[in-house]
Amino acid sequence: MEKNYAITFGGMSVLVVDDSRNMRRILTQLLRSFGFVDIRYAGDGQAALEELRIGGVDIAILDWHMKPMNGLDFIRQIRSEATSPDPFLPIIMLTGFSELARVKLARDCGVNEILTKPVSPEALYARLTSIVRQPRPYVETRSFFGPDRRRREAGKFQGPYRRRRDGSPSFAALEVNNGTR
Amino acid sequence: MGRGDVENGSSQHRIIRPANRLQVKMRLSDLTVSELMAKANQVMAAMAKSYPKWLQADLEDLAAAYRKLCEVPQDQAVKAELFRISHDIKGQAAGFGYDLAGEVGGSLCYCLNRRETISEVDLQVIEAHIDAFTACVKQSLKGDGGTIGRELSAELSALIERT
Repeated sequence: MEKNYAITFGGMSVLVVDDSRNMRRILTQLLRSFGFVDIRYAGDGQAALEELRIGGVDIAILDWHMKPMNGLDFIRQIRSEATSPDPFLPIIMLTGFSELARVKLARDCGVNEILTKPVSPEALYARLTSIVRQPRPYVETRSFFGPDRRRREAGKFQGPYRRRRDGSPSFAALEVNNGTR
Repeated sequence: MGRGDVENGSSQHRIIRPANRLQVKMRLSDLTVSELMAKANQVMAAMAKSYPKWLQADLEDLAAAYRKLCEVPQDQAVKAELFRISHDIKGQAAGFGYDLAGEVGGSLCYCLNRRETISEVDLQVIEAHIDAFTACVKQSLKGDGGTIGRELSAELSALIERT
């Protein structure tokens, strides 16, 4: 049987953005075990932006709860501000917040991957390899810029009523039958 | 990085496929994925030996912040510091086998978030959480903490419900 060789990340630079000394220790050890050599650090979003302006960062691993600039505001600055040092920066958010509403909020701000704490080697490696091997396209609309929020291709639907707001009479009837209206 | 390939998805959105700069830098390891994960889990196991010391340091910081909060219960910066430390414990402890400490951390986060201002009763609730953390450290309560851990959890839950 063919062996499933791992990726090594030795040629890439990663920026760890976390205000917790312990979390930085944990991530440093794990990232080194994955082959990372160039590991940089920032204690909040503002310091991370400054580090990115120096250049050469390939991936950011980011906490949510930081001060003065938290993880979400950092992502907004990266994705949407004209002064962004890298709008396409792959960002993994590593957070203790696991509520669905927060996950959706991070996704809508333009995060690439979300990982809830406590971190496991398997989960972190999976997110890193996903970013390297299966990067999602970026979508730009009037209100959003970031990785495509859909994980799967929905297929090429050809009909006129693709979205709920398109107002298909039959779709409305279906919603009534399902009790969603 | 350049914008890569751009598709006009519709008049309302554009799809951009940036060049994959990481694919170019990627190399295959000599290790299989299973071997690499075994190595990374050994790294975690080695750190787990140090974790009780880290937890003790967090606990000391938590106790110091609590003493400050007792002096000025309306100090939002100290309350935020308590939240930060308990949130860190919530996010780290279970990764090293201290699931109960992680749960206590989550419970303290909840208690700190549920009210804008801290009352005398809230201070007692915070103190009970610090006592629970202390038990986790001193008695090395791993997993759910066994009988002692389950009793501690039940007492904390009952206290939170009463308040």
